[in-house]
Amino acid sequence: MAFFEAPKLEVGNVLVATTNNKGHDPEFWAQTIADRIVSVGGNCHPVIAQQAEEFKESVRATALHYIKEAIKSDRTTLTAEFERQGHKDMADIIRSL
Amino acid sequence: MAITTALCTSFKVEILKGVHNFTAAGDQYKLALYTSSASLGAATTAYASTNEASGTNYTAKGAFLTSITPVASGTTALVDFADLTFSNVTITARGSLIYGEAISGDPSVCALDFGGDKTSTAGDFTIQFPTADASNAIIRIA
Repeated sequence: MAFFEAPKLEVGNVLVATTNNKGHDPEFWAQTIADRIVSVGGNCHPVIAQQAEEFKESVRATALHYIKEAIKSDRTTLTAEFERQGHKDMADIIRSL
Repeated sequence: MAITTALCTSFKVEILKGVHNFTAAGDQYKLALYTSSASLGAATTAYASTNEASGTNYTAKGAFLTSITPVASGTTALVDFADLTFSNVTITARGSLIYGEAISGDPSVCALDFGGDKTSTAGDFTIQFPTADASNAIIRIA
């Protein structure tokens, strides 16, 4: 007797993350980057899973560092532009964030 | 009225008719947000503005999705989208609809229930898609 598994069309579940009066923190984006790059399957060998989790943490930490650096660079660009156009008060606000 | 996470039945038929093309250069897909008053699910056939969410900095019909080239994982074919952020918005939504913006009639792909009202006030409203693997990806043919 032969058994055939019927083809299945399925849809996954999404998550929604929201903020109020600000954008997402760098930590949110770093975790998102790590989650998108490294996925650890539930059925893999524990040693492999442990290595993958450590790699994932390394990805998260590296992403977090450079996200913060990118934000600093962008704020430098913004403050320089505001000051160039005579808006020192706005430059100071950006600098204080 | 309810929003139920489901692949639209019309989408399944349209796959067999060759209506959809999920490659990056193919048909362009959008995600629109809806309030809890909307009725979305397997029976939804196309985008409609009825009970679409509205708010500051949200444009009707939603926003385009990216990174959508289909791939295989084992014997399962899957489609993935990059997470989508509506920036600096003030809005409340209970669910969403993915549909083909560049296809005649804006045919629906799937309805997504958020599990409850999600609100963002002058902030980011981010849709996070599941891991792109054979067990979790947003659209899978197993």
